[in-house]
Amino acid sequence: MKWSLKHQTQLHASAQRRHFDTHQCYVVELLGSPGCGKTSLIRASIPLMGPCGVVNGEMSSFHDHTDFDPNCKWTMHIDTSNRCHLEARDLHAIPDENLDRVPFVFVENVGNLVCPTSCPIGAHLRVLVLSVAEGADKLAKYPVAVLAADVLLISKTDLLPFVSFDLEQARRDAQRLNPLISVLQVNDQDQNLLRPWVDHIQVRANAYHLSRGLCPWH
Amino acid sequence: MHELGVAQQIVAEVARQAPDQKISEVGVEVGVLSGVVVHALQYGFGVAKLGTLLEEATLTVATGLRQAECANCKTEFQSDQAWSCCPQCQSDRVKFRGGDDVRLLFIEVVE
Repeated sequence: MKWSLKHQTQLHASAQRRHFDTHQCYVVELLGSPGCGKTSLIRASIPLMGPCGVVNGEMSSFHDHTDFDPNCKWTMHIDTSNRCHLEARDLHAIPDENLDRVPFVFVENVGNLVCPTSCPIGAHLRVLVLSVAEGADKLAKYPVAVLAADVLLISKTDLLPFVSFDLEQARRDAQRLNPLISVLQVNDQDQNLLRPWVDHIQVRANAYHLSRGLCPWH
Repeated sequence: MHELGVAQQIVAEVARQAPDQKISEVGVEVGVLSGVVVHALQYGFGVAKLGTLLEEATLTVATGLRQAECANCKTEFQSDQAWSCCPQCQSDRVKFRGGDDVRLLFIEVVE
């Protein structure tokens, strides 16, 4: 018997991760509801990062991947044709030479807090983005998203004076569900407030590259 | 939304495990946090089984609960919630796991 959906999706994800590893690419996946600020966060982070690539999963439209910083060596749009999430096999479409050109890739999943969580794509780090405008109770309403994530990124903190968002409640709810989750705050309007987030992923990416005997700065 | 795909995977797996056999019943466990909606899975199974040896089969679904252990009083319990306080001592130091998978439990073959 011994068939399990999780095991099955994990097999595909592991194969895709091995493929990223072959090309020495550290991959960060962003999950979050539509409008939580995934795209603008990537756009704002790139100038502070080194060379990177961006993959954008969208149900339709080509809107998201224009006018990125020169650090962004390539962008790629994956149209899921109305499917609600990316799958590991969708990422086969990234050309190998693109992976070879950068040590770091952002993958923006389709805006959805349910379906992408049960479909890992082989990223090294899964980041759940929650904007303060959505309300802190969203974490308790979508526990699967919290369970799937390594990092909870609370975005649009510049709006905190205008909305009632309880940062402490968000942190507590997230860590009760997933004690290993890191919780960070970010405001993509202010470069200083992007630093802790960029440092966080750079430290992880550097550790990844160093553990493979690579110098992450080249 | 992705339940049809899950149902297709279940049908394919049953056909792989019981090749060339007519199937009367398939049992699965659907976790409360699996993200799979049972009635959508039933519907998807009804579509996915058409034209296969599972055509006559019913899908029996059990609920996969979360396993919990209180770090304070060590009470172990099961829950259909993602997280809750300990029912015994009300502590909030409770560790939850599981309930997030879909598993194949049994296959009944037509004799």
